[in-house]
Amino acid sequence: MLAFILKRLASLLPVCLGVLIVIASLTRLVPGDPVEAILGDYATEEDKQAMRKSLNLDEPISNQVFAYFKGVFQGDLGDSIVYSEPVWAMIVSRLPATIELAIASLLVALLISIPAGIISAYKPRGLIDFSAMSVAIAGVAIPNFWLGPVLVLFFSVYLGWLPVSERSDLSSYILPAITMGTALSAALSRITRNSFLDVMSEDFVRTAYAKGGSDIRVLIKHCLRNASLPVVTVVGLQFGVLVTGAVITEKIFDWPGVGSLLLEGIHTRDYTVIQGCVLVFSASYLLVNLATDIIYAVVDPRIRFASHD
Amino acid sequence: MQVMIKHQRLNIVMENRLLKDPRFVVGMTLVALMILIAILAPLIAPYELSDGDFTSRLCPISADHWLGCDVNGQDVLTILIWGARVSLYVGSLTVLLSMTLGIGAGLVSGFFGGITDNIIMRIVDIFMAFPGILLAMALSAIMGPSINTVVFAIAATGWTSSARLVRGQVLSLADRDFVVASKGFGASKLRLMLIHILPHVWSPLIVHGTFSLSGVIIVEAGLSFLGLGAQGPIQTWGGLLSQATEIDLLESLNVSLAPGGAIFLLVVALNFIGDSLRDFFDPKKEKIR
Repeated sequence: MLAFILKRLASLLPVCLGVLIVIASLTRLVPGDPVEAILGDYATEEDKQAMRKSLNLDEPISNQVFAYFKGVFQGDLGDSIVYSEPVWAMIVSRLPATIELAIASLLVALLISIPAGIISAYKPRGLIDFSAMSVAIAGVAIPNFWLGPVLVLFFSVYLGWLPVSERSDLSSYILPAITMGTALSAALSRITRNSFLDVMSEDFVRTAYAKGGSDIRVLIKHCLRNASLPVVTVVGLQFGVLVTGAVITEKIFDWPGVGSLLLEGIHTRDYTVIQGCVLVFSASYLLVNLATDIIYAVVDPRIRFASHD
Repeated sequence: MQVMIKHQRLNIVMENRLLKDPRFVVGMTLVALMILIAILAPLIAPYELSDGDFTSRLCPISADHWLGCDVNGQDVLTILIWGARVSLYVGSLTVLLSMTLGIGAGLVSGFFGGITDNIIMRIVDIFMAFPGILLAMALSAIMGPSINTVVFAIAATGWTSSARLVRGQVLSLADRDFVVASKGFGASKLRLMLIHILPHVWSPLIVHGTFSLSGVIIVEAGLSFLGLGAQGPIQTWGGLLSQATEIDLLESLNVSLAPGGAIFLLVVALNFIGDSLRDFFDPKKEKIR
């Protein structure tokens, strides 16, 4: 197992390098002159030259990438073009808010989806299955940028139970976490149900029943482990949806996180801030996927052994 | 001849079973209707797209404006009809691009293993490290937002999830007896991949594909909501929804409810189709009944 983890960590290195290269050359990879885009039509030629120099755009792309690499390994993501503050410090001060929100919404999603999926699969086409899956379909189909304002309108403005926006005590987490977690929980409960259905028609489940296993024993001991494979994958994959949700949710609820910083950067065309935020989101995504792979191997030994070949 | 007859019978049985599934019928009808609306947009839209009139800003529902007006005095129904074009265009093109790439990469990666697998999966990892909307946001900030930027940016990261899914399935299938047996019979690698392994991958892929399509439609709307989607005279559902943050929702419910409802209907219809197809394609399903 340790060998598997080490191997996986080693294979993460080239990916990190690849990601860094893409981010460092982001302003170069696409057509158009970023300096024109930042400064607008009225800038003088001197201003443009100064901006090119500060962004390292006057150097060849290899130097530009190398300079960014050097900065990243020294914990320096450059200075914000608009605020002239270190980007790293700006991100660090906003990171806790985003992480807390992500954990809260993941909790909301898991607590709803796993039980709903298992119960639905246990009696497929039954009443519970039908209603749970109807809610799940609705949950996937409702965009979070619509759900958020509606939740605020109903629970904060109309009923006055919860704060409208801004991060304060625990109650201020409820609406953002639901806004962010709804789509995830809907997707997860569908996958959990489908995966359980697949596993429950396998021969070994029939054998387990034939040996006299009770429903709960067969479901938990024989099915859960086998059925959890796709579920674990999807949690890892859907982390991207969660990040997407963070940007939109933070905008709706005025949440002081990395997502709203990124949006600010995009609207002011602050390239160093965009680069920094993309880097942080990507790095967290890589870590989650590493964890997913390790869990994957713990759950299914076939994958662990396949990687040794 | 015999084979042909058998084939025809099978087709009839398939069609009947699908057409008996209400989810499939409802979903297909809704999607077909949306496609029709998108194609006929110039003919059926009650107003021209540029007909914004500030005197009718946020006008209520009336005989002239069935769904009222938005903040620019634009007819909401007209925006919805033209918005169907954007959603369907971006959704179908993006999913087609990303699924084709993903299936190919996943099959090759899982089947050949070793260094091929390693290289493909590292490329997947690099692209995957930019979650969903993130690369699209960065790209549209740098390139200037447009519909094609959206398609390009979502597809560039979207193919990776189906590649991973296919690879995972292939890995757990490659050692199964039926694959080993046909390998023993001398089946070529291409035959093993396409005839023996791929059919077993369809079921999760179809579920995944449905989610992708509806997901892309929501992501497109999300980008438009953030002001990073289609630009200029093109109106989108997401763009209309973004007005909901500027206005008093209680007074102008139609402005936010209408585009939200359109997105909801299309996504629900797609999920209905995906569900019914999944039950239909799944050979294991027979055992339960």
